[in-house]
Amino acid sequence: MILGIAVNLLILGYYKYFGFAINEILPIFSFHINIVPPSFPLGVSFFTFTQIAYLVDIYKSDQLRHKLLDFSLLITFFPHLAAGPILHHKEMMPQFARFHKRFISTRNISIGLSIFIVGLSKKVLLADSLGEYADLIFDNKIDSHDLDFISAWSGALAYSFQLYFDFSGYSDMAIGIARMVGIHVPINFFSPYKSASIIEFWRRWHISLSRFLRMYLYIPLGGSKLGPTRHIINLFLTMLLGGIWHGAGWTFILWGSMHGVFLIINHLWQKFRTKYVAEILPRAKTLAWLLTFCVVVVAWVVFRAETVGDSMNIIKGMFGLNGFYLHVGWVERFESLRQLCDFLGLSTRDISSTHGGLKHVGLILVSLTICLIFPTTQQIFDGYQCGINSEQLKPQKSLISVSIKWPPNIFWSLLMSALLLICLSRNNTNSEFLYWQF
Amino acid sequence: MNFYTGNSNEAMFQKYLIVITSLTFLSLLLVITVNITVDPYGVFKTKLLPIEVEPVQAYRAADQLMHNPEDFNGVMLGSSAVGFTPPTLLNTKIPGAKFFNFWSSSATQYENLQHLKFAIKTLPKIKYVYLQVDPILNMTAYKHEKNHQRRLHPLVSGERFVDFFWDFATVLPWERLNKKIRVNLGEAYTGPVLHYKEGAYVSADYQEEQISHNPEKYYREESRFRIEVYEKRTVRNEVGIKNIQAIKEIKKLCDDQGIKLYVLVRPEHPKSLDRVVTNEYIEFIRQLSSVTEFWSFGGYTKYNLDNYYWYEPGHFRPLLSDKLAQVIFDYQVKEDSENFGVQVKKVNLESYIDHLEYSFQKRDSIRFEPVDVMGPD
Repeated sequence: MILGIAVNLLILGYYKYFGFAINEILPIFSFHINIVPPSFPLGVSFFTFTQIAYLVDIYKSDQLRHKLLDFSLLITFFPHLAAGPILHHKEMMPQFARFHKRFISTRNISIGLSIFIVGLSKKVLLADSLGEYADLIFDNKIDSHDLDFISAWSGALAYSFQLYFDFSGYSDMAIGIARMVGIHVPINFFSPYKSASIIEFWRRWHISLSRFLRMYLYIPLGGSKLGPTRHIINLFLTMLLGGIWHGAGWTFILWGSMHGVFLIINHLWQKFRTKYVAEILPRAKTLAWLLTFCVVVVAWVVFRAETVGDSMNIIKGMFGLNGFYLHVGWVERFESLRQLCDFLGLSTRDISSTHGGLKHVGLILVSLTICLIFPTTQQIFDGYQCGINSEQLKPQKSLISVSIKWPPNIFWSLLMSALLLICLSRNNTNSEFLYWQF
Repeated sequence: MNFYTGNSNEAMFQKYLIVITSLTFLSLLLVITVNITVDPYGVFKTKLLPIEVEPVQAYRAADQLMHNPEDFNGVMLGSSAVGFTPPTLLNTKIPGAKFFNFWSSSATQYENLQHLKFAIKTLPKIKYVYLQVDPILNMTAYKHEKNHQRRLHPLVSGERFVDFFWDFATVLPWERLNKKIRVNLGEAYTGPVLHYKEGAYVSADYQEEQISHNPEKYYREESRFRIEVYEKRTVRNEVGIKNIQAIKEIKKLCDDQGIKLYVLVRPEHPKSLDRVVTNEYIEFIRQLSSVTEFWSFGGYTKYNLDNYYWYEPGHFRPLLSDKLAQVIFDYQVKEDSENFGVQVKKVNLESYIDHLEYSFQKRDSIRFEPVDVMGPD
C-alpha cells in the first residue's frame, strides 16, 4: 500500500510541483536549474486521489475484489476527468458491475441531458461573463495598488461567483453525461455560499475533495480524538495540504493555511459558544452567513491572485485602505448619486468602460440572487436522482427561496432548448474550465 | 443506494427528448438563416443589408487580395492603427508602389507573418512590406484564438472552411445584429468605414467630421481620453519574444524574396504608454533591434502627447500617419520633434535607449499634473 501511494504521490508531485520546486524553492537556497517543467496531464489530481482511496481501502478490506476492466473504467471514466468530482470506488464499482445497455434509456438521456444543459448554462452564461470582470483585476489589467473599496470588492465577488458557477457547472455537466449512460456520480456542491460557518462551507464546497481529505488524511492523522492541540494541528494540516493539492504556489499554501485557521477559529468558537454563551447569545444566522461569505471571498482573492503581493494589494482595497470611489458611469446615469457623493465626500473615478460599471454590478447581484435564493441543480431535479448525495446534505433554510422542480414537460423542453441554443451560439470566445488546472 | 432505471413514463421522456431535439434543431436553423441574411460579421457577403458594420477585416482583406492580385505589389501589415493609413499615402512616397493595407484587428506578429505568407503566395510579385510593430500588443498577445472579430481567412490560417463558416453561422451576436439592422434602417453610423476597393484601409469619417466641425467639443466629450491611468505601470513583456521571433521570420522571408521591408514602431498615446513598465518596453525594443533595423515612433514624443493627432488613445489620425511617412520616406519632421522617428540601428541603439529612458523618467515626474484636454496630454 505504501509503495502504491508513494508512486501515485510521486506522479502527482512530479507533474504538479516540479516546476514550483525548481522555480521557487531551489532559488531560495541559491540553486538554479534551467529545466522546462513537464506539461500537466489532464485529470492527474483527480485520478491519483481515486487510486489512493482504492489502494487504502483494498489494503484494509479483503472484501474488495473487482475486475481489472471495472477498475480501469473507474480511473478513466471520462466525465469527471477534467475537473472532478473525485470518484469513490464504493459508489462507482457496484454500478459498473451491474451496468447494462438498457441503462441507456430515454429517461436517463432526458434527465442527463437536462442536467448537462443546466451545467453548461452556469458555465457559459454566468461563469464566463463574470470572468471578464474578474480578469480585469486579477490579470493586472487594472493596477491592484490603486483598487478602491468598490472596485476591489466587485472584482473579488466576480471571481468568487465565477469559480462557483464554473466548477459547479462542470460538475453538473459531468453528472449529466454520466447520467445519460445510467451512471450516477457524486454531487460536488450543495449551496456553499449559503453556509453560515466555515465548517458548513467545507461540507458543501467541492464535497468529493472534502470527503477524501477527511477520510484519508484528517481521520488517519487522528481527527479530533487525540486532544484539542492535535485536533487543531490536524485541522490545519488537512487544509494546508488541501491548499497545496490545488496547485504549486505560495498563494495556494497561503489560501490553505487561511482556511485552516478559519476552521480552527470556527471549531474553537463552537466549543466556547456551547459551553459559555449559548443561552445568553442568540444565534445570529444572518451575521454568521455574512461573516462566512466575506472570509471565503477574501480567501478566494489569495487563491486567484498571481502572487501573494498582488492579493495583499487587492485585500487592502477591500478593507478600504485605497479609498472609496464611485464609478463615474453610475453618477452619469443617476444624478441623485452625484448629490449623495458630494454629501458623503466620495470621489468618482473613470476606471474603465466596463469595470465596476452597471453591467458588472448587475451581474454580481444576479449571481448572488441565484446562489442565495435559487435551488441547486440537485434540488431542481429532486425525484430524478441527480447525482449521489453521499453526505446526506439537507437544503438550508433561507428567508426567501424559490422552488423550482424539473419535470419532463413542454415548458422545460422549451426552456432547455432555449438555454442550449444560447450556449451554443456563444461560441465566439475561448474559455476553459478553471478547475482543470488543479 | 437505489438507482432507478425502469421504464415507467417512457413515453413522456420520449416526447420530452423529441421536443428538445427538434426545437434546438429548428432554432439553430433559424439562427443560421438570420446570420446568413443579416451577415453581422460580413463573412457571407450576402449583401441583403448593404451597409457594412465592422466586418471581419482579416477575412475580407484576404478575400479582396485574392480576387485582385494584379492590383498590388506591396502590403502594409499591422493592427487597426496601421489600418487608418491610406495606401495612397505610401504610393505617393515610393514611385511605382501599389500598397494593399493588410491590417487586422489587434494583429500580432504571428498574424502578420501568416498574412505575409499568404500575400507572397497570392500576389504575382511583392516589392514592399510596411510592417508596423505595436509594442504593447506584442508584449501581451501572440495568438487570438477563436475570437470572431480577429479570425483569419481559412486560407491564411489553414482552418477548414466548414469550421470557419459553421462558427459564424451559429454565433448569436445580439449587439452586432441589432446594430447592423438599425444602421441599414437609417440610423447614423459612427463607426469605422472600410475601403476595400482602395486597398482595404479604414477611415473614421464621422470622427473626422466632428473634429473639423468643433474640435474642442470632440476632445472634451471623447470619454476614452478621460480613462484613469494608475500610478504603477503594470503591462509587462510576457510574450514579446514570440512576436520578435515572428518578425525575424518576416525579415527572412523578405530578404529571401527580395522584398524591401520597412519596419516601424508605432506611436503610442500616453494613456496606453503610461501603463507599460519602462524596463519591459525597453527590453522589447532591444529584442526588436536584435532582429531588424527599424524606425521608432515610440516613447513620449511631441506628437504622441498631443491629443489632436488621435481619435482616441488607441488610434492615431492619418494626420500622424502622414508625419510617419514624411520621416521614413522624406526624412522630414525631425526638426519639429527630435525624438519622433528615430532610425534605430545597432550602432545607435544604446543612445536611443538612453533617450527613451529619459523620456519615460520625465513623463513619470509630470504625468499626474492636470492637463488641458486639447493640448498635449
